[in-house]
Amino acid sequence: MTSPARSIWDRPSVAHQYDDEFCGCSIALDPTWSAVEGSFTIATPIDPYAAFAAGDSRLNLSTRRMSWLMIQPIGTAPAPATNSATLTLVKTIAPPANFAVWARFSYNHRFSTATSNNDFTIGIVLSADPYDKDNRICVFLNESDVGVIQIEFLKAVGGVLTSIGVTTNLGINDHTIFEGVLIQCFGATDTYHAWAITNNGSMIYLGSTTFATTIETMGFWIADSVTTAPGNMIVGVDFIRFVEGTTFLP
Amino acid sequence: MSGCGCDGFVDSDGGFVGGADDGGGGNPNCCGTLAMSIWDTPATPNANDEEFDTGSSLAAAWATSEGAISATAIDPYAGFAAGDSRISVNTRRASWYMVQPQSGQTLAISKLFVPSATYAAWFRGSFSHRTTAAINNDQTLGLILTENPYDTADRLEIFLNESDAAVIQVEFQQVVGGVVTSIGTTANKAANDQTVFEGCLIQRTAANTYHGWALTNNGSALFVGTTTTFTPTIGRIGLKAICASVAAPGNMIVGFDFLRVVDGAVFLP
Repeated sequence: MTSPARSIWDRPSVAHQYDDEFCGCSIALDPTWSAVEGSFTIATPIDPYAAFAAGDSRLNLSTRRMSWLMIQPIGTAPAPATNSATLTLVKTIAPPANFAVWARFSYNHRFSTATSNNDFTIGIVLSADPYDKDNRICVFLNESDVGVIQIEFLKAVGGVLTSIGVTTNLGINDHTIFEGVLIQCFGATDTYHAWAITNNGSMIYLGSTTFATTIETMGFWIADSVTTAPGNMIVGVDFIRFVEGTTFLP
Repeated sequence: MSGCGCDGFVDSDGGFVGGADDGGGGNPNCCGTLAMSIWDTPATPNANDEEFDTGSSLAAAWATSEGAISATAIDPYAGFAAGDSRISVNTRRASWYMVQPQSGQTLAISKLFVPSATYAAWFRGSFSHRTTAAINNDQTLGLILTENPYDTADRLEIFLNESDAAVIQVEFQQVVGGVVTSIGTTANKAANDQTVFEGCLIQRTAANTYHGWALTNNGSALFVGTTTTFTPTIGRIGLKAICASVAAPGNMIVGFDFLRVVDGAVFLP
């Protein structure tokens, strides 16, 4: 009998209070989460062949995919380029000066040249409390513009979006190998670094920036602007984890 | 934290926290069966295997054959061209040997190796890199087979990830009498992308005959090439890490999950 290989995605031996593994034996989202943009339903099941531009985004916790939060966003504008989202879920936090937040994601997409801008996006977002979409910092595991897939680190200050780093563009009929993203904060200088992470723990540094807003909320920023066949694309979150200190990389 | 109500839990990529089924009326999918992985430890280890899963320092069998090791902790935001390479064993990342090489310094560790006539040696690794301004050989990590004593002029090596300016690749090469010969190289990837290869393997099937392979997470393997002209007698096996830049955010970190040896001529994981 072999022993299972250790994985960078394994749960930490000591969890942080802000961690969420989405592995509860309840189908309900933990009440610390709230939707600050968009709305969601658990009652209507996710259906990869459902195309819908009305109603709510659909959530499934730990049943459709064990210990994952799966989301099928409503397919509607406004898209990320307009500085908004289909669904933003956040929880309030009171972080120390130095910390890292990271998450593991998945996404589906379509093999088509007809994909619209921002067909799907899922990322980590940090902002003030109450959440302010015009003042936030975020990194997206998968973001699609017409015909390309990429990961982007960007911030919004006073509603002005600034791109800090972007991975190489991949064709829509390919798939990025990055599964996780991480934002690290050095509070003394309001400096934020971002990384994209692969399955084996290889990482690409996306850059750094200063961001003066006091972080009081963290969560997920999810967008979907397309309802074409086969339906609204599904994204997933395995976990979000919080680590204090200045040198953490998984 | 939003807790898990199960006693036992299997994460989607093999992480396991032991326990029984929840036994109650909870989510029937909350507990599951562990997926096998090509990276799982073998049922019967080879005497030359190293899993880096014991203690917090390198086992005594390892010697530093190139470069030197510092006592300073790894810091992904530290740029340094002096003070030696920094390592972490089974601590920073459980069951991994992590290396943050001093810029300009090669850190190679090796141990005695008395191989069978035919065998495979393989490792799993990882590396960090930057989207911009990568210079030649920004980071390299690889497997080395060489003579005893360790000889930089006569060796066979395969690199999981090697960066030339703005490209990333996997390369299999030999050095005989100080002459470097490239045997095979994967397609170049842009610096702002990442290779899917996580492991590399060298297989000896006959005298002077060695094959190189690159491995992905699910066991897909890319044949990198064959040499039939590598004549030195293998007496040491090692792992090499290189970083050539101190640019922001700092010296890039590489990692080794394990080094394994399998006797026989036909092994592929």
